[in-house]
Amino acid sequence: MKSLIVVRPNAAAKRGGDVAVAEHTAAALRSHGVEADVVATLNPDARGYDVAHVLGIFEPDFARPQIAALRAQGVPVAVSPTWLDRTSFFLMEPKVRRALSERDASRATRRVAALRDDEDRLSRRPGRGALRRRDEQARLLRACDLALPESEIEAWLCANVLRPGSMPIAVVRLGVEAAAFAPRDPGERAGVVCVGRIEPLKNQAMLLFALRDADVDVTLVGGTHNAEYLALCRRWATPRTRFVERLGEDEMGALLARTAVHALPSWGDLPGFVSLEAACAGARVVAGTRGSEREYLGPDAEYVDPMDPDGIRDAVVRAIRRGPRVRYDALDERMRGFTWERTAAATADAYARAIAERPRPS
Amino acid sequence: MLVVRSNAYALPGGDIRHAERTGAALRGLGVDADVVATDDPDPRGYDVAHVFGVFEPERARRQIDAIRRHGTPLALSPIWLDLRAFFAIAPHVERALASSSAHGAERRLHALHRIEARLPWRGSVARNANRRLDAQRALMLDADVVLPASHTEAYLFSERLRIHDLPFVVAPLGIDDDALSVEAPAARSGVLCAGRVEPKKNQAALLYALRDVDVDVTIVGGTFDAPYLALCRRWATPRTRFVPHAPRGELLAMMAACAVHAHPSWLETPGLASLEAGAAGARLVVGDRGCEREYFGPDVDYADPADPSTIRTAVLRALQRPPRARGDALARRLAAFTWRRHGAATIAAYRHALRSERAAVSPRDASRA
Repeated sequence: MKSLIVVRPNAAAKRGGDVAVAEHTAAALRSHGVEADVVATLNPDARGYDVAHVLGIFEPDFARPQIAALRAQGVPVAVSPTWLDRTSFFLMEPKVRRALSERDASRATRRVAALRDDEDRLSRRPGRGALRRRDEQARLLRACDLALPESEIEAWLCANVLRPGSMPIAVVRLGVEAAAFAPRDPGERAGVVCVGRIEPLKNQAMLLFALRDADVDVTLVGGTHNAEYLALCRRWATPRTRFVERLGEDEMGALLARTAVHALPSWGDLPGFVSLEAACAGARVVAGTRGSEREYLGPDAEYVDPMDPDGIRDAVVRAIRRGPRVRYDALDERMRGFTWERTAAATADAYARAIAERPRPS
Repeated sequence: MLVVRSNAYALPGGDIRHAERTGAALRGLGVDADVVATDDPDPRGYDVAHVFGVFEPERARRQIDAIRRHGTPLALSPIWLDLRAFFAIAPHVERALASSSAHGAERRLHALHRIEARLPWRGSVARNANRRLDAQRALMLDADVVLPASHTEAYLFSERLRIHDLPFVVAPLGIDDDALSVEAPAARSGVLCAGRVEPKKNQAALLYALRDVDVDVTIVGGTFDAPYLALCRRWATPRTRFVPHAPRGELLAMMAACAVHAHPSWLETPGLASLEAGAAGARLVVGDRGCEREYFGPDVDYADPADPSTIRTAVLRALQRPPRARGDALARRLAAFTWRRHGAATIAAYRHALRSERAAVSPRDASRA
């Protein structure tokens, strides 16, 4: 079997979780006996391949020409939607950002609390742009032969929000690199770390706002394409906050190995490689509740709503108080269940289904 | 102590089987477990109390308050899904199906689908449903740990009920051994739907969808809703059979003999009848709004409970597929759902409850004190 994995054309310039998923999946598929190539293009050429696999409908301007090109070539098309319903994020996050721009913390707290109270009402009226985008994503999903969401939660959301009809949906969970479990320095752990591009979706400004009075060192690791948002993060930084734009793989491993808590109270991750890697590295983990984080991290992490600064602070403090984790604890065991070999096996099964069920031209 | 509703044995349902099977699995794993049917449980002498279901919030409130008075750690299997779509849309579907002709029903269903996404959420139905959700939220917040039966259910706790930091352990339901070992006849035929005849199970839409399909349809299950049964009969054909009750062995034999078990319910977690019919070798058609997908994956056909045309398409597709082979992908998938695994997850949840920071006295009790 030969698979062409298609990622967005700017993958090299702007790496992200989707590109990492494509590369890891391809490597694991090869080990599993499936020939797999990764291409970053809007116009993939699938001649000679048994199946094409598009990574993501989150950006319709990329997925539309990719899927159309593949459809025209008659090859079965699988898609990893990499999709969550972002309606609430698009609607609420700018308001939260404005609230966090208030002059003093008490006013910001009041405004955020009011927004939380109002979220249900506001979310019932998404903007026309958000609805158009969602409709387009639904059309893109329906244009494929098979969906491969990365969690049951994503599968449920795709099925219930995008309504792809009778299209088969096969969940393929992501893996964790074995290297993430490398033996750790048994030294003392301290501080809170948040790894990830500095951007509204990751919600670092709220994390810093929540921890502004907490007696703890906080390190944000990640670059940004959004100077304004970085400025908002700096607005709530304290003398104990450190911004690190980039770290090498080894340095990152070393940092996570001495971190007490990794906190990423994002607006929805799928499920956020950094949270998984931090869990593998032995840190306690605080994650958001609006994506598939729960399904991966299970009951042994702390969960927070991205709009709840008190909840975020309480969760981080609770995680710190729990003390260091022990090797081979329940979270460690859980993480060891997520292997790229399993991802490859499930993907290959799904490909076989897409190939078998694709109606042949008469 | 496993606590079920006081009328459990007068009105048996999936929640009771869930509790009984959990109790048996726990005992098999070395835990002393008793199932009690009461609204006023006395948990003295037990390490943990485990309540099944918040679908009747007032009853669950009495049970939970009684347990909390004794400071016993509380585990809760909510058996919960958000029923707002059911409350909002199902009455429209039923009114459409009550039309005097199929043509009229089609017209009304078509109109409904155009406006479904914009149906207003107001009036007494919305107020009552929202009140019910608030009550269910408060019940869950009183627990030390919750045991959703699926990741979807766990996700919806935070998404719909805004419960974010409550410890949870997903405990998938199991399949009884007798469903896995039932003898299947050489040839299968017909469509079966097993379950109480009620709007949530959506049998009327199933019968409407299959009214002109050349197939025998058997509806097995009692009802407490005579008007709904009448609506089902409205679309029955000479090839439709209603069986108000079938003993367990007979029901399993029917599952093993049917070509398709169709249960296009509004919401299930995930429907024990579908699990058992799948284990007995039937092809399955299930609803697509609950957590069915998490249990059945890509190996069954899904239908929108609000849209009889999708039910018809799904059943026809299932009927056209060749009979399932022993040990096929669905069988392998279902083999993972054992009560023993459910019991192990339950023990993990009890451990969370026992080390809960608030297990000793709930804030409610503290304020009373």
